[in-house]
Amino acid sequence: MPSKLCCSRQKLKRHRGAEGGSAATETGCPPSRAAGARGRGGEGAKNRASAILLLSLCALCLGGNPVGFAQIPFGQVVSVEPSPALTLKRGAQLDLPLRLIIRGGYHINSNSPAEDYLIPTALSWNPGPLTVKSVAYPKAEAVKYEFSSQPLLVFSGAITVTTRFAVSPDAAPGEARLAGKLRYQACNEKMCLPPKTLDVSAPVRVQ
Amino acid sequence: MTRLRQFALVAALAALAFGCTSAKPVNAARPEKDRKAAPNFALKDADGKTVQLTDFKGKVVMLDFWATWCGPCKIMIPWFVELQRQYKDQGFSVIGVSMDEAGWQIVRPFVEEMKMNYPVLLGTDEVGAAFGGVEVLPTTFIIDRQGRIVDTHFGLTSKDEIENAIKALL
Repeated sequence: MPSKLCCSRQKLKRHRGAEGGSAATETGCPPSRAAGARGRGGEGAKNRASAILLLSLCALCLGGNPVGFAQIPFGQVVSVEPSPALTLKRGAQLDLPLRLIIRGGYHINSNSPAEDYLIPTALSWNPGPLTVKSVAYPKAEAVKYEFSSQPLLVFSGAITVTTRFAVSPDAAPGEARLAGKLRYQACNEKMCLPPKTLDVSAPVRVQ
Repeated sequence: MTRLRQFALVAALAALAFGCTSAKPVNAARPEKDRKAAPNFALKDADGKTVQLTDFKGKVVMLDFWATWCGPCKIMIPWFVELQRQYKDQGFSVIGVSMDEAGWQIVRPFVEEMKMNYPVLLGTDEVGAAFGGVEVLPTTFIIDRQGRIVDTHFGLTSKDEIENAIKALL
């Protein structure tokens, strides 16, 4: 309901503006179209700025006072940035960095969590044209949470997991796609999300 | 004016970012007229016995979805043990539904370690879905004697809040 409330406030404010002889419009949400329709004059720009500020307030309402299930940012906490195409020569090795973005306010367990009961982050690759030599995770942060008796080893923010691949000398040349899975389990200070497995992939060309 | 717009845009983005990252627990109390019947379920306990929600008809029930890997759940479980001990004779029961994929091999030792004195069942995705999709843990439902959901708590909340909600129904 906060979004409706915000929009009502916005509508009310516009109505008051119209009474005062300004160029405000009487249309409801969203505001951008109405504000933009007023041309490029000072009032139009002012209206656009007001509209953006009101949208900000709406967002603050949503973030600061959630009252419904749909407003909680559940779901996917980790996103994987697309990998660059790899070109490898037969018999060579190459590092593939995989950049993960962890949603603000959340953490995922490191690949070696401090407690046995925690589910580690794990990147694995399906068998393919390349051989996995190693998977290197970044150094974990030690963070003490209200729910833990000791600091936990976690990842947050943006991290890079690097896989070293090798191509066998007799590999067939051509293009292929590496496919793998990233498993993680995320929490914030107050709640945890179920473990999730993401499909990851990267294009490769063997020369 | 350009500066004002730039400022407004930055403020909007900052606010949206805040809105997207805020994850406060949400507690959605329902007035009596809006209470809906809790979906029944049939789940197994550690002994393989099937337990249904309807077995608790006439009792106030606190249905707790949890998992062994959930840190905030570990804070709340001792509260539930205490509430069970304190109010079970007044027609109250906690039911714990573990969402651990690993099953009893992981859950059983945890139940013993935490001295959980109330029924603990192994959950399924279907049961989670029936309760609106249990997307975060802990999620607790407080169910009245008529089998209707009164209150839903997402995430770590306070013991007082839960206890007050239960006492109001006993």
